[in-house]
Amino acid sequence: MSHLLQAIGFGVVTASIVALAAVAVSLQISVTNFFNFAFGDFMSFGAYVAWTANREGVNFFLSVLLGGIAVGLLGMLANRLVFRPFMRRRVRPVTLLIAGVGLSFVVQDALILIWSPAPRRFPLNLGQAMHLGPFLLTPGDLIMIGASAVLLLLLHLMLGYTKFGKAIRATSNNIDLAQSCGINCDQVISLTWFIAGLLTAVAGVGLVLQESTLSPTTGFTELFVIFGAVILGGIGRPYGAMLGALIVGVLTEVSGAYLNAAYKTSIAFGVVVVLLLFRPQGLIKARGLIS
Amino acid sequence: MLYFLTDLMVLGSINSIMVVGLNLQYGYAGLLNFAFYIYVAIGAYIAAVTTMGPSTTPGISYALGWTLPWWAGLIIGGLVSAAFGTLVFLLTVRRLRSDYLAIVTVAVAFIVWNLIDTYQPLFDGDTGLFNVPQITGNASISTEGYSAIILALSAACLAVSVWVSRRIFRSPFGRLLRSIREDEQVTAAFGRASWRPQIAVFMVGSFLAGIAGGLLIFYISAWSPSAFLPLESFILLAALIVGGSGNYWGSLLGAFVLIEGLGEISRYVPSFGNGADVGALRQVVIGLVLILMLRYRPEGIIPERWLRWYRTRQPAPAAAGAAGPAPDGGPVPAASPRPAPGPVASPRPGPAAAGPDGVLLDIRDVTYSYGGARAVAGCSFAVGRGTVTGLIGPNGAGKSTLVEILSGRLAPQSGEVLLDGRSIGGLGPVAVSRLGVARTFQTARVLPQLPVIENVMIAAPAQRGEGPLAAVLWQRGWRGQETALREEAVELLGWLGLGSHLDRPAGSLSGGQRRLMEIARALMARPRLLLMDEPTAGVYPETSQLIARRVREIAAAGVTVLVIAHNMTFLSWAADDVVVMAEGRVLTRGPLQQAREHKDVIAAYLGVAAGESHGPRPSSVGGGE
Amino acid sequence: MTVLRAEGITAGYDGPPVLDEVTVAAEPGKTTVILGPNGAGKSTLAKAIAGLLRIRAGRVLLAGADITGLASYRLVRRGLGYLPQLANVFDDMSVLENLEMGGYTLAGGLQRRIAQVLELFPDLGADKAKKAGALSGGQQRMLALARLLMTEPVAAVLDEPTAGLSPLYAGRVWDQIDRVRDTGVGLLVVEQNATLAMEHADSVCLLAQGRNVLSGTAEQLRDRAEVARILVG
Repeated sequence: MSHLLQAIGFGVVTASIVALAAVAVSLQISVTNFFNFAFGDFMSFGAYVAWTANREGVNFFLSVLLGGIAVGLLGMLANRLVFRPFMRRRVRPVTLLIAGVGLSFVVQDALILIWSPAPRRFPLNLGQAMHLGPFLLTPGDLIMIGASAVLLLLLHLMLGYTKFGKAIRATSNNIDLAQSCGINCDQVISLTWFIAGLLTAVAGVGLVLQESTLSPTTGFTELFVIFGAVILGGIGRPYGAMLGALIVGVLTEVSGAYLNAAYKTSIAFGVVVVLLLFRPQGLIKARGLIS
Repeated sequence: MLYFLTDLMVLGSINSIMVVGLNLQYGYAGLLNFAFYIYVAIGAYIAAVTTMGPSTTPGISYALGWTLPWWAGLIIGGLVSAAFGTLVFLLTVRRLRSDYLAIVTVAVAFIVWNLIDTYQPLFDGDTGLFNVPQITGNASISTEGYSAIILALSAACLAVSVWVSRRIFRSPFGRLLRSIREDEQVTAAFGRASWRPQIAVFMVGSFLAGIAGGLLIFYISAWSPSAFLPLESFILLAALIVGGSGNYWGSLLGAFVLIEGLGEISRYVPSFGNGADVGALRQVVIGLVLILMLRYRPEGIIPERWLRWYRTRQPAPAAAGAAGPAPDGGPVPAASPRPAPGPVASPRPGPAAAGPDGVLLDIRDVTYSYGGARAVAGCSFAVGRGTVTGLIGPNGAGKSTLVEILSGRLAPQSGEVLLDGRSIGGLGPVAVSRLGVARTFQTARVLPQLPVIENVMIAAPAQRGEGPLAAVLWQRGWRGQETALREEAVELLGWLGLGSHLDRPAGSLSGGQRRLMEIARALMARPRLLLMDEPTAGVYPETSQLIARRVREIAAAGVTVLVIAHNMTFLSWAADDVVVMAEGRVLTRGPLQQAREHKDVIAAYLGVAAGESHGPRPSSVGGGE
Repeated sequence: MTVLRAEGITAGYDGPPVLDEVTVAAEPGKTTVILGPNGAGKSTLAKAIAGLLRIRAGRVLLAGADITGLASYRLVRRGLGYLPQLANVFDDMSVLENLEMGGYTLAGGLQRRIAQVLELFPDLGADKAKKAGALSGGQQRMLALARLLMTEPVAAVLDEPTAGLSPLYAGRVWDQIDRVRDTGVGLLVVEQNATLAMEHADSVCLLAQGRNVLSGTAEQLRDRAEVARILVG
């Protein structure tokens, strides 16, 4: 039983990382309506920037912020140069996916070129694992959960109470009407990519801390776990994504504890397959992004 | 040096077979399958475990362990891949958006990869298989010699693959795949369901993948999960798109240039930095090239339309006494070359006319509601054989909804629709169109990438050669049919003024030209009933006149026409009488002039004053019909 | 003195232009109704004026200033409101938030303006926190109108505001439109239901096959047989 609870504890840590990423993806999808296949590589990029800054002596939290800004800018650039031209021409959604694949090649292998393919260590030794009730967590885990909670709370406040946040929701709900209200939707979309980028980088760093190693494929291998969470919660629904992340995070950890750990990723992929085939609208009712 | 070249050619050929297979799935049928390389891997593994015999080394375990001859292993590998591919296809053949479907295939690829990598007893897990026997058996032969043999074998397999691709491309089966790729709904509206042709092409593509895998493993003699990272599927796709999807020569170009060519060039780039750079640089280049191609030349370097098949022999110049060029079309023969009424074939013989004499279509008390809004509310009328009946009424009257019901796309929620005495309500568009119903759409729907003449040929009913076996193995059966169909289509298109536009991609036609093409396409189906939804919206007046003339000639040939129109001038030329609908039911019926002056009709078009109502009507949102 | 004038508008989608040199105008505090049979181009005209469609020839003047070709999101700041035919509320957002979005371009005094608008639409005040998607069709139209008023536009284009509504609700929406007109806004209203529209119109403009065919005051046109003939087609 304690085994199960411990696994749940790990699941919550994983969930907090996945939640940031899944919310970032959902946020971006809510205004652009397609999956960015290079997303995992954006995460890796953020982690690499943070790692490099940290190695140069910059304070840890500031390094993460730098990573966030870097990914934010990368997202805006990708939107401007790669995705928006396609969207303007109303191509098939598959084309955007393939463009994302191409972008993934470029980013992932650029990471190899700049930083070498060898895995790096990104140890943040903040103390030993402690027993908190039935859970076994390190201070690093707690910081991760805390950071995730804070960032998501800030996002919630922004979306619900600020003018810009409401403009994002309006754009995602009905872009033509938003334009008629005087909202410059191109700008809103651009800034949404930036905000999503910030969250993405933090999630990337969290991933790396959890595994203690950083390699160019770090983000890419998590891609489907994140997509699973996004779909579970309802595509394009950031709040649903948080719930989806919790479920996926706990599910993969718990099943990994009981089955062969090597199958952990398969389970996440399996979730994606089953969901898309049988319940693409997610557990919570999502808007009609399905054909 | 020679060895190096041979190696290049072997890998190039094998990769080409893969891309040709992927081209069948994605280029021909538009099905994106990111799990493709898994089929290659399965073919490789199966070829190995059916020929290498049981494991003799402790610690290495794998399934089967038969000792069949190499060619049996190769073919069985192909078949197992095909079976697996079919399984994946059946699993994913749901109404999903195309990119979600693609994501599912990536997930499937990872799951299978993970399974093979982890579950030892299957194919020896992450260690993989070694010492796969050569196809020359125990005969001692030099490396160069063996390479040459494999090259010969691969080249032969590639030649067969290309030959099969070409056959399929030129056959009715190929045309059907292209049509489904461009617009499934239109294809269904002309009597053809999608999933059988799609499954068939999926199987063939997967089979080729399996064969390629088998060839690879016989060449390299070893295989492991690190060799078939799901990433490889993306590279194949990139090669396909860059080379030219839909065109099998493009597949070869993509395979040789993007995969082999770039691979070889990277050998000569001096190593810099940290070792893995060259490979990474290659990937970056592939990614950039892919994005740029998608953006600026999505059809690829060698596009589908370059295949010479598309160029038709130019028809004889239009008959003398042309009625003058219509702005939308080319010169139009004032009188068609054949004796009246034109190249319209009489309608297909249907089941013996069971309806009351003279009545082809009988609509009885049909209703249909969208959610809370009643679009059709007890609509009844009959249409006589060989007549042209106009269907008019204000916006929201339910006319388009009724046409969707008649064409089979919607099922009536109550009431009946009888075609020649036979109930067709709820049968679905494929079945209804096979019973002799053809239609044009409110916004003209063409298959944009295909030439105009193909757009029309797809509609001909009961074509031989629309299945894969018939397409590939029985060309004799459909070759003559193709020539006949082509002539018929050329004549029909000429009759509608599109004689000089036969080979243009239909997407380049103007709005009016598209409407004319839709009529040709509908007639190609030799229908008994032709449903037209606003055939003159957005066309020049001269074209409108032409269409009206043609509609009368169509009816004279025995086809029954029901046409929704708002253009009263057009209807006065074309229609025998009109049915007026308002608020989902028939208001009146009779000659056009009478209907226009009927006081209830006028009231319906003018709308109601506040507080008045013509019967219960739930408050609802949403305009349109 | 017209506040909104579209003159010589030629516009369309692909192929031949849907609108051929069409001219319409609205005066402050007056309602101009645009009628016509199906396919006349009424909705196309509304979209062209609202900046959602490229105008091939002609121009649009708002309070004398040329606004032709401006991106749609700039028009609000210039003082032009637009009510689309379909999807005219943010159904995922509350009534209050819809109004806030309407007032997106306001420099200040948002809450005050919301209170003012709600005085004109008392029914909406009771449902402030409700999601717009949960409102009935008629209420959604009211919300859309209220949203449009948030920026105190000098002129507005309404595309079939009573489409799909029962005659009772259609009448209520028209009463509300009259109240909006009375605050001084110049209104161009595209409508399908000619009888009801002409009861509230100050002037009428009839289009057929993309051209002006008839115009005049509502009194002049109310009972003319020509109108019926044109509308039937």
